[in-house]
Amino acid sequence: MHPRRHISPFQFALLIAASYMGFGIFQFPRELVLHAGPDALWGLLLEFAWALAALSLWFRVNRLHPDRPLFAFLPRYLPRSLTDLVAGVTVALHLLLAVVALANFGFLMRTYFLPETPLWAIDGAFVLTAVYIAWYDIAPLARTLETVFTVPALLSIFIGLLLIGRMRFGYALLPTTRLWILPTLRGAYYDAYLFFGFEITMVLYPLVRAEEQATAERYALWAMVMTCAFFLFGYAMVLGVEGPFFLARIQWPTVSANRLVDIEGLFVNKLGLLVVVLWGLMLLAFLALRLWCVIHDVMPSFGSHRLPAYRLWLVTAAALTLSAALAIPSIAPLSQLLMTVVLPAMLGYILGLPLFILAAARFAHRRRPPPRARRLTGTRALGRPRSRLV
Amino acid sequence: MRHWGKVVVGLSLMGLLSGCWSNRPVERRNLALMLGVGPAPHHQIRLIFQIPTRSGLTGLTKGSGASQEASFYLIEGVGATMTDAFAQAQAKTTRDLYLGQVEVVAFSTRLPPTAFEQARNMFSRLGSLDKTAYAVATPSVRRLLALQPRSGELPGIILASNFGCLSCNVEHLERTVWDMETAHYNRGINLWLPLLSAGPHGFEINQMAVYAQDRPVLILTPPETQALGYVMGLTHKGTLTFRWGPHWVALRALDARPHFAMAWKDGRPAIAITLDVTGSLAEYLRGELTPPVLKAVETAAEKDLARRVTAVLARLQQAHVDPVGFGQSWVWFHPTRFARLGSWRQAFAHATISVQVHLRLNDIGDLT
Amino acid sequence: MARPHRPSPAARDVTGPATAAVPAWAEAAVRRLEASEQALARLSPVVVPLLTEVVSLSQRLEQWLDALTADLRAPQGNLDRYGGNVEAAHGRLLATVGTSPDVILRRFGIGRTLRWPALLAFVDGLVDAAMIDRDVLGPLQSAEALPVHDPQSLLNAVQERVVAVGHVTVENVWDQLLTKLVSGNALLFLEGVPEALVLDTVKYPQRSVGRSQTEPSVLGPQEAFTEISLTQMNLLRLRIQSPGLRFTPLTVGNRSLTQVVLVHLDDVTNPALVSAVLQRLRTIRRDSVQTANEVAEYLADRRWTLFPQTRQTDRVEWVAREVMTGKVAVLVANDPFAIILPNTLMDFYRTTQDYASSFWDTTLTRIVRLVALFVGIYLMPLYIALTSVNTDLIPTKLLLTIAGSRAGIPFPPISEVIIMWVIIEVLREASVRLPQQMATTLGTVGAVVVGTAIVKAGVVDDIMIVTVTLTALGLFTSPAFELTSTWRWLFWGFIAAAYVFGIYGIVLMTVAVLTHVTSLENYGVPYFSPWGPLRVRELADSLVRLPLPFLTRRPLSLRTVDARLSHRRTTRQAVDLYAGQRRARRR
Repeated sequence: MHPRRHISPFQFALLIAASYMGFGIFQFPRELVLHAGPDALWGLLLEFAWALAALSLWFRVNRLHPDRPLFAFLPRYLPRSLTDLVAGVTVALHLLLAVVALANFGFLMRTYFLPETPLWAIDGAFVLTAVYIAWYDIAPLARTLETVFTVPALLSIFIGLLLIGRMRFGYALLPTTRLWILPTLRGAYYDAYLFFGFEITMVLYPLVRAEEQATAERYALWAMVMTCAFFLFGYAMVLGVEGPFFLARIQWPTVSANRLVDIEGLFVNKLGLLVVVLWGLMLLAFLALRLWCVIHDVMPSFGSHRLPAYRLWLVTAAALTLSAALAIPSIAPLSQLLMTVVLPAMLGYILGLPLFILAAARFAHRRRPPPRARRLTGTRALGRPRSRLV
Repeated sequence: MRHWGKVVVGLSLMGLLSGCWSNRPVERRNLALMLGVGPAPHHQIRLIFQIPTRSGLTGLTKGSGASQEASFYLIEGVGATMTDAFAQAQAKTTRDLYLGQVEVVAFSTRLPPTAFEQARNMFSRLGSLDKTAYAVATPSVRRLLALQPRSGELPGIILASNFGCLSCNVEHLERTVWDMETAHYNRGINLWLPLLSAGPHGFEINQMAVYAQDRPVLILTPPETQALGYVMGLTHKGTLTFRWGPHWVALRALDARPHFAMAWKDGRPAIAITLDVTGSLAEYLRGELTPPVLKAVETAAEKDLARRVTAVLARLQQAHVDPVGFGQSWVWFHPTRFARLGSWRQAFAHATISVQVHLRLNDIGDLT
Repeated sequence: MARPHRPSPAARDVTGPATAAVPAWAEAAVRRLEASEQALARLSPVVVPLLTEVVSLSQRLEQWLDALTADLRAPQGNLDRYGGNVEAAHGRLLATVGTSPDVILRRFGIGRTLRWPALLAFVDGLVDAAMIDRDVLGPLQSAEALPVHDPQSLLNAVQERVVAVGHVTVENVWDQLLTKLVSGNALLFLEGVPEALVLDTVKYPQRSVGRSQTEPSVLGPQEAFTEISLTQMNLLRLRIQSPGLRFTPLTVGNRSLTQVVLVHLDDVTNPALVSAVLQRLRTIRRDSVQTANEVAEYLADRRWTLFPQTRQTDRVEWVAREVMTGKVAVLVANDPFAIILPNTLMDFYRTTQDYASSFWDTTLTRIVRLVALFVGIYLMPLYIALTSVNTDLIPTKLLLTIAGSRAGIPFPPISEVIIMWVIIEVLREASVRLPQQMATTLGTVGAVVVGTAIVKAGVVDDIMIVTVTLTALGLFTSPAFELTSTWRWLFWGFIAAAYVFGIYGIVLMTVAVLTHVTSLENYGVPYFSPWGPLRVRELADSLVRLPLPFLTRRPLSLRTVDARLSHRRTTRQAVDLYAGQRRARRR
């Protein structure tokens, strides 16, 4: 009766999908339409392409040492100080993402659902739940996602289908025949937050059994393709219902569209609003995964792998996230933070880091063939931190 | 660690349970079912809330709608802005004015454009307002909201079921607060609202008020509304009466499927409208209906209908308003195309419009 | 049952041959005490009973010391063992268990002519009296031609030819002898033989095999376990006639010495599971174990969780089915409920009837159970959330109806819930404690009178009555008794969450509960499988049940030795396979 130490390929794919789906689902596709205009569809497709390419790139990085998390093998290719710097940036970015996601959701909930509830209570309850999801480490987290993730996904599709009846701006869905490159690129850039988060694979990948890693990669890519289809569907529905110009003015376009769904004869007739709350599940998964990932980046540096230490770090990271999210006064500075700081930093990180590591690895291999039998003594403490945790 | 956990959980529970925050039982809320926005002296805005009384609420379950007591009462607030008016109305009642279940929002046709814009803007920002509430224009907000239907039911409920029914009226003139917002922000389309007035026998809905720049510029007559309804896909139970020789011919249950084609000809838009109409023959007195005769009746009806539709479109062009939204696609995909003409409204005013009607009578009744 | 007396550490030290001095001081002490009693009787009548008690205790002490002395005098004398002196044995038994009226100590002579001194000890009621008279005392007293030259050969002869009891063993350690005695065996002591015969004359007082009252089923077998371990094992043997069925006995309870039997299928169950359960059973350190639950609470992986981890059932068929699946069962003597483990949450929603009726019926029943669970847990919190927090989510007409019915009610919905729930719980508890006939009356009175009256009194509104009734019914549809309190506890969590945060709170609470459930593991078996982790194949017997021919495999998480549930093999092949596996294991 051993504690579970591995995740299945399906769980891996689900976790990867959950690591980015919750972040942008509420404000998507405002920036895309705002910047790409009639070429928004091309911008979206371009975005899908870069996301798939970047995920494949991260898998290549993982394949360098499939049995170890990124920061366990990075010192092999980079100087120690640089590794620490990258680790610090990773932690900071993860926390920043968590803060933005949490604050955004808090404002959303207060606007539409709990107008008189203080923000600290809304965010606090959310963070508390996220901490509890991550409390037992990755295996229960994965299982919880397996159980709950399908509900909002299926309900969203159902709500989307119901929205077809309210589509008044179907013309905007047509693709343009004359492609304007710059707006398309701008649209894809400003909407790139939709896929932020899958770099979590740097810690998740080694949890998959070696013989299943190839399958896991395939599943994760397929999951991303399905997510793209989901986003495309969402894009079509929201654009068709709101119209392109109005869409660009709405804070949370998907939520506004969902609020329109009204099914007569149901106990809860505003089913769309219910789905918005259920989307909170996706965000919960996002937040829990982020906290989990941050700790797994940090913990090896302190040489501690035990569950109590993990939980202490978890609570600390959650408290930090909550305080930072509460420090943001309203949605306007939050949007600015997202667009001016998070977006360029994350995009640079997601695309730049794997390229840099791959280049460094190639350089290192050329200088010194990889000693397969030898283990790096310096990184032993960093290797397999999960073994006692899961 | 475990003890700390308990302390944290205990404290957070105490914190959470110490206040009721958004928890306010339904009986402690003033459920506004209808909301009216009208002009007030000195360029102020008048906000009127229609709230069901206790007998109005219990009448729903007991079925004794026609009781002696009124089923609702009104609360009014006047102010320079919507927020002021709202605050004044709130001050007149001890309970929370709740907008989450508003069924109808009525705007006075005499509302100044700035007041209309303020109202629209506030409704857009108000997260608690139900965006699927029906929006109407009315000549007098006070009269409309004070009207007590003879059945004794709550007016908001009656109107909501009427707007929610696709084929209860000749035209399905349903507009929501959401539609108002989309029509305002999206380009190439003008806002229209159903004109709801308080008649001697109850509510009357058979006219359309078309807005431009936040004020109603055109109020269509009932026949015009019906004719435009064919183009907009709103008319589902239309009627058509025309003279054919010495007799009248009447068609009913007319339902149209509109198709548009847009082109740019000679520096102006050319709009081709095709209407596929189906209907029933209601009155025909000229003898037996053979297939050639029926065809002739259909052709005559097509001509008459095309004439009516063209006339109402011409009126719209004269007023520089396009509630159908012919130009939306062009504005989105070819924003520079009619820059010379200023805006789509200008372009629409100069557009050439052709209307073609294909009418088929499915039903001639139990008489040849 | 009294635990056999252990000699004091000082006494235990005095071991070895009978060279120790006779404790004459004891006799002197008794004489002195008797003299003192007579003297004191004249002085104060008040202390006489006290002194009588002291004298009586002293006499018992004397007997006890006599017995110890006799044991010490015997060759290889030892205080822990019977020395061969019948009188001493009598004295020792009298001093330990002999004070109880149900312990019978019978001195008699063996052989019609020989009259060899012997002592028969047994517990009246636990032994078969007819057996004692007919098969033990009768043959012993009338035996002829017994060897007289050597007491040991006499014992052998008695064991081999005279007593007509099926199971006879030889024992001389007092601890063991006393344990056997109180568990229903008869002890036969012969003068001069330092060993006693333990005669299996056990006849337990037991009721007949009856129907299961706690888990009724319309179709399928009905028999339930009794309190007797042997009967429990016999009933299981009848249902599983595979040679692989194993019973591993253990004794738990330091003083109650309750027999616990671990049941598993040798060629199916994961050996790691069996050894883990055995190890866990051995850790039980309690003086008394009277119910199966006292064992079950030691077997759970997580102790503080609300969710039950062991299932207890008195249905023989269910235990057999679960053991066949690859689980282990623990039979606890004196409790008809067997413990089954490890379990998943789904296991608590499976019943005998699920397999005794058609799969259509089962599927419908399971869906109804799920719906009932959802109604039970969510209806009331939703009522609170939708009437107090998220009032914009429900149809206007419904909200107005609720507002109309609530007009004039002095309490907010949350207080109504508490009032109604208190009434329901009190009624429920009262009807459980009362006799059946009164319980029905009480239920009717409670439901109709209180329900109607409370609405008329304007304390609670009509819709709340409907809601609370559905909730109460929904929460009790769970087929396993263990789960009902789980949901009733969690219900309050949902109510609190809905009160503060409305729908948002309900969603967060749901996630928290799901996380908790998925974090549970029982002996490595995830509690929420087959949903989390997802096991697609096992969904065939979860919310729906496919026809049995499609259910061909045992649950993956049980890691059974034999993964297949249905084989295309003959019985002969199965036996051969089993033998092969045993050979392989031995190698």
